[in-house]
Amino acid sequence: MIDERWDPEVEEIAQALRKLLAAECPRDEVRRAEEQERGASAALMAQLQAFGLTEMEGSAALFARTAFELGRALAPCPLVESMPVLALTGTPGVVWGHEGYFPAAADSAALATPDGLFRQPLPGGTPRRTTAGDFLTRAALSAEAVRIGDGALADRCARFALLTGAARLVGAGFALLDDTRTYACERQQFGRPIGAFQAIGHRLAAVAGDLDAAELLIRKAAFTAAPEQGGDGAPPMHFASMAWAKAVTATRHAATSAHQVFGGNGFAMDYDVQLFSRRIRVWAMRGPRADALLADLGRMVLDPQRRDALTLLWHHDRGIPLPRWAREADAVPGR
Amino acid sequence: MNFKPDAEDALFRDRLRRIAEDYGWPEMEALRAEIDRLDIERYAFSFQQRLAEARLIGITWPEPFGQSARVDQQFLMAEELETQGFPGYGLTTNQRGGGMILRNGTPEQIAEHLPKVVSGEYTYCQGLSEPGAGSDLLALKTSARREGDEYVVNGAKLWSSSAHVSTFTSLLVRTDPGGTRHKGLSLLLVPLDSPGITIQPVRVLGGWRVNAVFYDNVRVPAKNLVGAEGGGWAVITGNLDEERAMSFGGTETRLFCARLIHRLSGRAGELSDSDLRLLGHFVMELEADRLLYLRVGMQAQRGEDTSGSGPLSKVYGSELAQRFIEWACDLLGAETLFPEGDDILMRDMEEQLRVATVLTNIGGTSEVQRNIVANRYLGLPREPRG
Repeated sequence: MIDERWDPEVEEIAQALRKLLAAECPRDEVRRAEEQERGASAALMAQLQAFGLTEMEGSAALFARTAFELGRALAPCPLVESMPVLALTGTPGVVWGHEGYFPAAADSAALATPDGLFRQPLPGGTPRRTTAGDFLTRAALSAEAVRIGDGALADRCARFALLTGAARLVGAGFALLDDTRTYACERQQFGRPIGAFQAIGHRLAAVAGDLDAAELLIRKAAFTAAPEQGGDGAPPMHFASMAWAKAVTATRHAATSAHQVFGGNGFAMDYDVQLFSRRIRVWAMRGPRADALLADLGRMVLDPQRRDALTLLWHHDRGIPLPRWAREADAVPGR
Repeated sequence: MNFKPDAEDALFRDRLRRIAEDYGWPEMEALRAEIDRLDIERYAFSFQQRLAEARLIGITWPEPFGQSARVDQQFLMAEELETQGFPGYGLTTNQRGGGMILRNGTPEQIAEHLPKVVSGEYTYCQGLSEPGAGSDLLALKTSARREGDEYVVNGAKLWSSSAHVSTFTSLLVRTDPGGTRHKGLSLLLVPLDSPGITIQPVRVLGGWRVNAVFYDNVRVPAKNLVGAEGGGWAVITGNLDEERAMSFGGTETRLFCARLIHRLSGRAGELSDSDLRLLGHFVMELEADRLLYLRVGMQAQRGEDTSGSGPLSKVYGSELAQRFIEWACDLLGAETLFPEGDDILMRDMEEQLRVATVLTNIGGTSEVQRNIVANRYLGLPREPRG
């Protein structure tokens, strides 16, 4: 039977993680981590390691749901970046990416190249602080790199990273919407809570629609990753792209709207809006451009062979077939 | 978590798929001609009869009227109906009438109406909005005065889709002249051939007629009261929640998008990067819209509250349908300017450009839906009434 909800065992782990993060990763901890040398919280990392997150095994759905919680709490540690390699090779503590910037708090990285996936230690040197308050270090393929997989594995990691990255973004987006909703109920102007004004209510309703849509896309993308659905442990490219692109636009919408609803307070560093807003923008920019992924999706559906290979798009099992009458009616332009 | 229907989930969908295979373009063209003759939105009696013969009306109702199907099974069937391009309005409006009677009617009303709904004999429209009561539905003035075993109805209703071809209207009236807002409203099943009823066409942008229905001392048997006298608002809110859980545009847009994709198949090189991006964007948004819509169906199946998620889905799909068709017509160019023409896809796109304009109004405007999402889904305070 169709069921759009996360599996109960996945949800149980996510709720336990939420409880842990509520205790160990309050907003003050996020702020403190920004002052650390590598922008991460060693204490939180130890707690998450004890929880089992650093050596977790399981489905793409479990990783995505977990990434959502880490995003929701703005957890200052490079766990989401290490999920692709952990999930697909079983190797913990290796952050994934292309040549460029990696989280400075990690010790080693897996670099994706057309020739395969290469693991190497992350270089020392001075990490650079990003707008989000975390720290990145630049890495290119080095002589120390060891090939740990072929191009297919690198491709799977890329698709997996889109899924978990999207989940982290959307987790942050929902937490920010919760904060904004609470503020709109409490903040009084013109003799009433500002949430009673349609200008505020309609704006937040639109954000809720976008975030719900993004989260449901993540669920379905995680579902399509399962081998029993024809997946290879990571979502197929069309679902990975859709999950990421929607997460980027939905969370930017949430961040912009939160600033507007909080008014001047939303720009004050004492308020938490900026903690979310900065991370949402940086996390989105560290991934591939959503527009480029969507353009490729457009090319994909216009290529008959690639289109016929699409799985589970919309209500179809495979491809994008037309009803019989439409095949006949539309077959000859100008008929 | 499972997004792939199994054989049991798809039982009724697959029955519909088998019917759909009988419709090549000549058969669909004949259906469309019937719709034109009826002068009505996506409603063909012959197709409604085909559904009745296949026992596909009211499938979620308990036996002996329906087949005790699950809501998700009905969801998949309704989705198939729209994405195959069949006229589905008759099914939804008649099921809404029957469902209202099943939830609120007397045993006698249920025994009379339900068998005739599933056989296709009885058909229903709604009588809610009035010239002075649109989004503010509770400002309605149509009255019903009790006289012995009858009610005497006076007033006017507007935007009554399919009133000119329906057997009954579900008429929301004020039975307590002293009542205000939702107090003192009642729901009457009024036969549309009753003396004193005048039905006038109102032409709309989509190309069909809706109706203004005038009631001049119309006598309605008191046994046609649905629910308690004065309890009409509770009866009709069940209908409105059901209506808001319908797809308004998103589902049918998948078919338009699929037809566009097939028309442009192999021609990506002719599209700008901007249009390729927008095509990918709409493929993504249509998937997102389906998931929001599907969630409402699954929540309904589980008995969960859909009064917030339904409107959220409605706004998302209806606004998406408008954005898509505007872009698609821009992309396809001049042939979509003309209601008449040889190219069926272009003609259909032109029609949809007009049809889609109403999607953000019917079933409650986007503004009303966003109010509901803000209040019921997000828990924001209501705006004080003036």
